[in-house]
Amino acid sequence: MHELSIAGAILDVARSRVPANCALKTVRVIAGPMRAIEPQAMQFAWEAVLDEEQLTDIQLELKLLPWLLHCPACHREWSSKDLQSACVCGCKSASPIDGDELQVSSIEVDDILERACP
Amino acid sequence: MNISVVENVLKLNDEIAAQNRRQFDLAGLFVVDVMGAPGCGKTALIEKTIERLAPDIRVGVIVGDLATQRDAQRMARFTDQVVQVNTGKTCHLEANHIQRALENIDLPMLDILFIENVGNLICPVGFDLGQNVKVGVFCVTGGDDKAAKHPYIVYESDVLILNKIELQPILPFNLEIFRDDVKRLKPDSTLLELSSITGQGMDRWIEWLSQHVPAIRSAI
Repeated sequence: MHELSIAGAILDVARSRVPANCALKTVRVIAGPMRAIEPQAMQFAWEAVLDEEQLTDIQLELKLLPWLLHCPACHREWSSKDLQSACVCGCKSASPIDGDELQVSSIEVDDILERACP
Repeated sequence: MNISVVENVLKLNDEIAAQNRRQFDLAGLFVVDVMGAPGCGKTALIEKTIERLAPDIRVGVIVGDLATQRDAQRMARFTDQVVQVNTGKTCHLEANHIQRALENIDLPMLDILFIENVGNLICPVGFDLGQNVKVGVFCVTGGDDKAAKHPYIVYESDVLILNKIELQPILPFNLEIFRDDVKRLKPDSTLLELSSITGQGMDRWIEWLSQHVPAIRSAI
């Protein structure tokens, strides 16, 4: 359940980027397949972290990246949802390239002052 | 309003890991993060390694577990530089656990520091602790599919160990499948098949360590 630590770290990064007088509404995260992040577990962890911080209504949008594979026989590179994907050349020994991305890509905020004084 | 961020989620952990790494460098010691599933033989491997290296090579250990002091008690028979970290609900060690543990270790006294991570094939892999190398430990009793199922630890480890190799002849563990999976996931990987109980294959492991800690060569 590494999702719990990651959820806490996502919230810390996102909150550090919220301008004054704004409320955090959405956090967008991209995660590579190496990270083995399970979306349901991530959502559960996110809600647990929000609950602990007494926060509500902050959405987590998680984008899981596909595997980037390299064929040792013909050196083709392609992306695939499945790590054990055979190359078009017939080779079944494709190796993954990177895939350990884990970044907050953007956040969505509401301007509290603007809402209070339209 | 949309704000572009593009920041590593584990930035804070990575910063603390960098501080740890500076401390290790200053003290001139080599730090090994040992990762693997519960019961794969991480503790036994470290124990046997210390037995082989002591007393000329001075070894410290930080042991991570959710609970209990049992591993620290096991290690204390081999070195007095042992710190047990109980992580509570956290399934892996993070850089700040190590930073706190270092307050209780005399770093300049040591040549090698082993960090035995919490038993888990997934969660510890993504957290930099400031180590020099990561060791991924698998075992024959875990089954021959475990490398394929856990690509991150294979990919990130500087050396992979297949432990309990003495049991391979009596278990339905297909060594070729395991080796092929490791090779496919990481073509340039180093896989050491050994037994920390019988000592089979331990020479290659000590030899691998000595490539990083030259003092081992003159000690053994």
